[in-house]
Amino acid sequence: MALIVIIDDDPDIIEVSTLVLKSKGYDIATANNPEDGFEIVNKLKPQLIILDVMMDEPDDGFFLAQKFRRNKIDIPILMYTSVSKAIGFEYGAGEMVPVDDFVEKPISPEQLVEKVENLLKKEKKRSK
Amino acid sequence: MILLVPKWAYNYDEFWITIRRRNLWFIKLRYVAAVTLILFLIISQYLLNLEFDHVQVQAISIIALSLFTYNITIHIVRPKVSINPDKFNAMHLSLIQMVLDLTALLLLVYYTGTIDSPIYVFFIFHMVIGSLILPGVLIYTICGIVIVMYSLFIFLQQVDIFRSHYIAGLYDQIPQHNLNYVIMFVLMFAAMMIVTVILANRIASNLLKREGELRETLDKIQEIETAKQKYIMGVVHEIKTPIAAVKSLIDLIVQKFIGPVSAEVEEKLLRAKGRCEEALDLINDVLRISRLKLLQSTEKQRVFLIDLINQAILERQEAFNAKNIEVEVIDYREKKKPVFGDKDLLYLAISNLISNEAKYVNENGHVKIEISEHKELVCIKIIDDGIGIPWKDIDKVFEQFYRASNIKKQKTEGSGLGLSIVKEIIDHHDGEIKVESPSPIGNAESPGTLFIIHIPFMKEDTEKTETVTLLDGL
Repeated sequence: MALIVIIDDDPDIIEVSTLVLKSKGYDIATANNPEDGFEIVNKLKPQLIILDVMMDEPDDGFFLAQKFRRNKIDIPILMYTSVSKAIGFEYGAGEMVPVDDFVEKPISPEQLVEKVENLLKKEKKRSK
Repeated sequence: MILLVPKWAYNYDEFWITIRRRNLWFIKLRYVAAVTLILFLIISQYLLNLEFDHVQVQAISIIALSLFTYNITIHIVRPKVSINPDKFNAMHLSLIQMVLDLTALLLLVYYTGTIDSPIYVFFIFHMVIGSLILPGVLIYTICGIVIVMYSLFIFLQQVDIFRSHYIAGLYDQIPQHNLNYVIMFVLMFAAMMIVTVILANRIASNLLKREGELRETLDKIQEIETAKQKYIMGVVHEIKTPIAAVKSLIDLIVQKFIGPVSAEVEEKLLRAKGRCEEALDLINDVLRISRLKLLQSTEKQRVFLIDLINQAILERQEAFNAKNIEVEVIDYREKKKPVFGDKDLLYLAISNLISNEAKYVNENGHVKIEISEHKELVCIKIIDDGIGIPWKDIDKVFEQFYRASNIKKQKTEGSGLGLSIVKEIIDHHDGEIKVESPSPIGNAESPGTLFIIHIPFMKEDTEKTETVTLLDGL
């Protein structure tokens, strides 16, 4: 089963995401800051990264995503954000930010599972 | 390329709009001048008994014709001239016009008598205009050149190298001037020119300074407003984070990811979840307003309102179905012209109104949405037989955080921010929103509400959109 790394500074969000995804059989590793996140991803080589937009700084999630891409880590990135199209913010996936999809907080378990499954399916096709 | 543009004006649209508008104004004025010149030639011969000789008639006609010809050329070129300070721009066009006009005027003065020409006063007029539109150094230079050229012409006329083309009929006898008169005339002319330029230039630069100060103040106000809104967004965001985490945790339990939950606990958790959602709605509303205020300019495009309405209804379909509310959309328009606006913002406004319908219309109620056109406006009416708005509250519904007295009793979720956002968006599009209650389909029990929105079909080729384009390469 696929390994997913979750990077978020909110322990509750990490716990919720971990429980939901573990219940679907995924292996999970977590980090609560960008530096540890980068290290874990490099070491474990997961199939998907879940990344919070805002950790210590309002945009360090974006920078971390860019850092992954610069270091040739091309696996899908799912970004957690608390702003969304609903309030008029539109991040075009892949345009400005090198991520593949967004999940708006609060996290709906069904939506999370659906997006994770989609991204992993796409990734499987791509790497074939 | 000579840099005619002050540094502060590089990115200042208002500056360029003014320059371009002035250019257009000069062009119009020049048409009038050319026609007046021809009329002067024809009418003054009959009315004032002035006599022009053959050379004068030819020369004045040619000058009028050239005036007309180069004016048409400038008229055609004007819209294509850039507002890029580093390239040939609207300012250079102003300079070229000034040089051409002064040349034409000098020739005209020569062919109407040089020192005896009544037309020379127009030099003064040109100095005033030049001081208003051209940088100081340039207009002083031009002023100097005009004084030298005119004096030279007078001198050459005086020593009989240039022929005198004075207008017969203006004088009883051929005018003769001794050297003292000529010197006096030239000195007075030079003094008048220089004083005019100094005065006009000082007034103009004072105006520019004031404008600069005003602009700085406006920028500062804008900065403060932006900082304030960013601060609000930051704070609200901080509040949103824990609430979002709470809701995520509750979801986890309610959806049985951890294990079975007793019905009683689940019911309480669902209520807790509901309250979280209420808080999140409020937070999202505040974030929306902050964003609206942060927006200095919005992206405008063609928007078909009917599509937005249908999309918003579709999004609330579940809520409407749950209360068995009948929603009907009637489009009375023949041509379905789009409006020119920000699609996301307009959708936000319409979706807010439709969401209100789902909240405040009772079970088995009706919602009717009518779209029609009136001249330059598109009109949207949203009519329902819902709870309505009490008469004493109706003026306040568009105020921030205002919730009508009857909905507070009902405990319907809502922050009282929705309609103020709607109004802000409609205002942003130069539109108007009104509300009436009771509505035409209401009844005694549920009087209903009628929202009327007017949005103009904005013309895309107005002066503003024509001139305000981003500067190339900046």
